[in-house]
Amino acid sequence: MTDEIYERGLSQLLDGEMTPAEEAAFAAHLRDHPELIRDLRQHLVLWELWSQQQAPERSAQAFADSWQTRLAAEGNAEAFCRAVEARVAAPDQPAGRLTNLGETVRRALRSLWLPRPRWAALASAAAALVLVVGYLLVGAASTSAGPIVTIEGEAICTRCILHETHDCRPAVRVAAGGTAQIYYLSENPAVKQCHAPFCSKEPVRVRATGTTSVDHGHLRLEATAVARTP
Amino acid sequence: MPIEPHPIPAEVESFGALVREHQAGLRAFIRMLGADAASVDDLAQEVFLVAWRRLADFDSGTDFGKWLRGIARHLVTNERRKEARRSRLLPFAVTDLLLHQADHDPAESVDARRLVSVMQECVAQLPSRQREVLQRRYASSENATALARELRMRADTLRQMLLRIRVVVKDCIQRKTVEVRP
Repeated sequence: MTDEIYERGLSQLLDGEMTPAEEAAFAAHLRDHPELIRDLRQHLVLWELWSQQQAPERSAQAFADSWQTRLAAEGNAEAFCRAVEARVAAPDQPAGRLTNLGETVRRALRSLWLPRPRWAALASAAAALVLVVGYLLVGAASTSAGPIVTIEGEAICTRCILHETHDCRPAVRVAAGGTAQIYYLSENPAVKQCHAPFCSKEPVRVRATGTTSVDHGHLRLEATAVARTP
Repeated sequence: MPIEPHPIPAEVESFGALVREHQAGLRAFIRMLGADAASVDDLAQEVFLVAWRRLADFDSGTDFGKWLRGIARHLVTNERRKEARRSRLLPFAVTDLLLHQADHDPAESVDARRLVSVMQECVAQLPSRQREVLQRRYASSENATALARELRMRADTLRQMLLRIRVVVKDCIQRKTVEVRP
């Protein structure tokens, strides 16, 4: 194949970046030579499969684990909503205007997972956040950080392993009773002191101690100590 | 507020087996529709989450992979319609062509296992230096520019080298009479 325009565009697409002008020129060239679109599709398929084979964080098992984590996060969101509803419905709580809080939060959390316009999801999440903050301000005394806990599990990266964020953030996957619970760690000095395990491509076990809280359906751990376990 | 972990029900376990069976081909299909390399897994997981929620809609006598690919196409098309600041797709002008092609040339399933097997044979035939460069390019999340620095090469020289390798490997696969679908 000696089509220089196509080869340059293919190379930039797979290994580099294109300026808007280069994108437009490449697309125009593909439109003029539709047979090249088939070649491009074949390259995309082949090198995607190769990437899955070569990158440990993209293995079949890592992918399946991440999917299960996301599914569990949805389950946790449901549990969070049920807990909020139970609290609101309790007779000694100042309920009233907060009766529908659980359903509102549930809808907002669900919307973050569904293929809908992002503004709608963000608006729902923002509404849920306002309601939750309002609920906290109205006097739910039990919303302070939970008890001190110690967890032990696999140090993971929210970008490389969970594919949930665009930048690397620390988390610990705790397996228990056939399920996996993800604790998202706040990036404080205690975590930064033991940062290496979270960037490792191999599983590293750690023990973390701190207080837990729930944020948007995610279980967060404000760790005061993190260390590798033997 | 502590949240108790949920035990994984049997149906999740069995669906997990389907995830493992179909993930490789589905991810390749999503990439072929125009997903950005860094977002392929994210989009594929969303496809499986949608499939999980809508499992009752699936006709058990039909092709599960085809059903997944239908969801994937819908998801990528929706993604294309978004006015997101950070897209999960290739440049839109290119993605539009890929989606258009997919509409007119519906892809059959990608036989991922067979393709990978032949690909490994072809890569094994490369000179060791080329094999090393190819493996390092994909074994880490480093882009070509960072890898070029490590290899003490110019970035455009490395990109040229990678392109030549890819063309050789793809030709090799075709010589082995494996149809690289679509």
